[in-house]
Amino acid sequence: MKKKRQKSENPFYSGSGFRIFGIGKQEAIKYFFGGNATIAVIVIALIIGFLIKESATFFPQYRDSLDLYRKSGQEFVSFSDEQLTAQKKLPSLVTQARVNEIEERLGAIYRVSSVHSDFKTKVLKNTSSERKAYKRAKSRLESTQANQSSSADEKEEAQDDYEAAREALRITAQKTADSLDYGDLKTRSWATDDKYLTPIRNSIVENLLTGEQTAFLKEIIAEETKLAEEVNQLDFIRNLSKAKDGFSEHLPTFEKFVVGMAEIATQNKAQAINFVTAKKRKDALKAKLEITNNEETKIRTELELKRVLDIEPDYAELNKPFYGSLDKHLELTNRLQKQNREAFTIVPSASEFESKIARKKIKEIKEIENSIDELFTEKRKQIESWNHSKPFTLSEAITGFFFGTKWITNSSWQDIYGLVPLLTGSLAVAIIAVLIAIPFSVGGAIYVNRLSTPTERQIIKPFIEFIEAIPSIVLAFFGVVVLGTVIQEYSQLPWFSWIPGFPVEGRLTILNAGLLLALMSVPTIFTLCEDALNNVPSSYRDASLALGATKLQTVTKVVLPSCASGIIAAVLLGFGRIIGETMVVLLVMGGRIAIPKSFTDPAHSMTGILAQEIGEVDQGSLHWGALFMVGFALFVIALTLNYVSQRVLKKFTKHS
Amino acid sequence: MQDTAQSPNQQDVNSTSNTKPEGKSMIEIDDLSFSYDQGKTNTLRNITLNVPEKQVTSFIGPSGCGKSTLLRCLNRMNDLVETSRITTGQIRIMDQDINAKNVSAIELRKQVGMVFQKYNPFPKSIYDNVAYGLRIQGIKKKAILEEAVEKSLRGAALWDEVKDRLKDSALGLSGGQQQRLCIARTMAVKPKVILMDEPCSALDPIATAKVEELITELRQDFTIVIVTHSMQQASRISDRTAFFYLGELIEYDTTEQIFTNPSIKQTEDYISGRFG
Repeated sequence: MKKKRQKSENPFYSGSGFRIFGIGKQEAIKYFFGGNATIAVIVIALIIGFLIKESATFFPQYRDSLDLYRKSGQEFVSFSDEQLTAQKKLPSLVTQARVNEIEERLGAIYRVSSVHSDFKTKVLKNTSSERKAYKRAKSRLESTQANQSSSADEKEEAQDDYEAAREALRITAQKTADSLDYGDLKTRSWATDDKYLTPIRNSIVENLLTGEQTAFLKEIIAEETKLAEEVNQLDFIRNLSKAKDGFSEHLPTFEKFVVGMAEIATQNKAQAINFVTAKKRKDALKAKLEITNNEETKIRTELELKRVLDIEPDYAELNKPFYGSLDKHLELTNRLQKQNREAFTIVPSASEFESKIARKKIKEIKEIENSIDELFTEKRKQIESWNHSKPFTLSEAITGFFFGTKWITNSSWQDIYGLVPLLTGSLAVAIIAVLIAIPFSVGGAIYVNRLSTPTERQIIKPFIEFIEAIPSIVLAFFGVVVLGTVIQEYSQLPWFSWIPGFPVEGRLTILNAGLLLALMSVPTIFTLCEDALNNVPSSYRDASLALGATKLQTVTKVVLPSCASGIIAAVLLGFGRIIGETMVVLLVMGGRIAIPKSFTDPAHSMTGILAQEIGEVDQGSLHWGALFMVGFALFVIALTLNYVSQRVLKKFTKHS
Repeated sequence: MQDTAQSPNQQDVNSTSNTKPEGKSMIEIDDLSFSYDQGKTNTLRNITLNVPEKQVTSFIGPSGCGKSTLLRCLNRMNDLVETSRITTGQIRIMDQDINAKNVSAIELRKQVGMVFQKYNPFPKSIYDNVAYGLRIQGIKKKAILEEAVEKSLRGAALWDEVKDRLKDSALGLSGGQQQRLCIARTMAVKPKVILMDEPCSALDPIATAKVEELITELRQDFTIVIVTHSMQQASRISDRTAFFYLGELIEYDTTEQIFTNPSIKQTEDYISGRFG
């Protein structure tokens, strides 16, 4: 002490401890933490910069690609193609309605054969060793009987063995068959009348022993055929068939016309692409020529330059067939429309159908009836005003991306990148998940934080927080294997039919993914809500209780209003968590790239498309750029959600 | 100094003296022991005292002596602590054992209001704060609510200060105003008893003076029990004073008696500032 004091006359001397580059210990620690924070900021800035850079090249590229699409006449053909697609849907819907209706009307009989085959598979599985033994004994018996030299004893023994094996097989098979019930069915909707249960079981056993179709099954199939014929004779089913014929009568002619045009366009496109490639090659060679000093290379490059043919195709000439096809197109579509109008009048009304799915299909047809003429007129107008030489603008490419309703990649025709189907898929699943998760997570947080006993809290809280630990791939697997089937089957129940979109047709739907994502977001929202609730001063609770309020009144009238913004922020962050989730939406949502019409449709998502396609694209290609744009859009959405919830939270903390 | 009607009984100096004042008792505490940890240790031990109706009774004593605990027993706010137990004795308010099975803590608290140490208005408007207690009782008629709010705010001597900004947030008021608002909020429910847990400890001297003045006036309509650290305050506003030490009631008498002629040495030491 004294020594130091002597060193410096300063009584408040700071000491001369550890120093490196003139930086003391305290400062070094400060710089260490500051440096860490700076690196985090820099990394995020780099990521943002990279995203922007990669996606910025996309739009000019996309514009050029669309330009070729127009110049080659592909765009022209696509208008007719859309008409064709709309028209093709009609007969297929009619067929689906008819098939479903017939199945429904056949009822129990139709389902008996399904049950029969499902049960049979199970019986076969359970009797494999007995069947093998039986087969062996049978073949031995046959061989001994065929063999002249075998003795009577041998024959008798073989006969005994055969009978024993047969009896063993019969007993096991019968036992297994008798243990089966409609509850064991693969699809619950196959379950049929109880009176068929025993005949089905017996028929399976008989079939197993004889290896021939049993009388029972024959009878069922005969009855099925008879009934099907009867149903086919019903007036509205016949009308349906007539309508189908009407819808498809002129279809082949039109299709042929469109396909012919498409072939021309494809050839045009090939020419155009050749030209673009050649031009690029030439540019590259020219650039090389400028840099190089080596005489030999120069000469070689010049030679190569001369060899590259970059004659621009005469687009006006190439597109002549399209301009010339207008009259034919008009004639064909007019004929289609006329026939359609007639066919629509004989489509029976939905109320005549017994099958729910058939009714749904008929409703879809009615919707098309209202819109198809409009579509035809609109496309005709586009066709008539089409001009191959009008160039695409950058803003058209940008709006085409952000508002485009199609996402078509690796196409031999033309790649189209439209964000809307992916965005709607992502938003739909996130909204459904949040709507399902809110009552569980917010309600759970309120209960655990304010109403429960400490014991309940100790049980509930770890359970909810444990959900977070489940890997999303496991949940996705559960969704594919279990939840999808469960939803599909139970949605058939009549008391769910008021829910729009029910009964569910497929297993992989937005609803399925939404339920799983809801489960995944519950811990996030729950924890953040609990934090918000914890931030409410206990003095509010005391004051309210001291005024004679119940616990519930205290929660609803004082606690919730004073932490509402915290809860909103929690929900928003949960939403952000869901929209960034990939595995579940990729595997469980069905992967259909189209704007979903109801929440029981399959759909694709922004995260899902990235995970699915980023591995298979060429770096720097148009597709690559498009995927980066999707990633960028996702990033912006997540950032906005985060920002908004931060603002909401800030407002909340200021208030209390 | 307010003088009480009856003369103190000083004969029994060894036990807690004069626990049964004359006049009608509002609160009767009988041999009460209370524990926060399921009966392992008693925070309050064998307390017996009666609080007379429409008077101000103050509880004094050093920190940790159990005066606040006793106060919170009176409207069962201690129910919020899971492990709390009343180990012996009982509390009767208006001749009803408040811990009996058929007594609702909710109904009890409507009759026995409480004002807290730290003013705690809700983050709502002034009007909504005062109307809160009535609204949770299901009163929705605007006229009734408005009348009650005005009456309570006038009663709390706050009306003139806030009548033009009833819709403003209560958190914009000054500390003293907020505490008086809390008193008004309690009065609006028309309780019989108002418990005050160090209501002035977070206030400056001027605000304190206003609240004290208010308490003196409230005596006409309410039975008031106040916990305070300030002996001057106890002597200024209360009719009767109870001195607690280490969970026991040491002395309970008229304020005048306690402050001028305490019968127990510990009381004298405390009020003369020798400990605590």
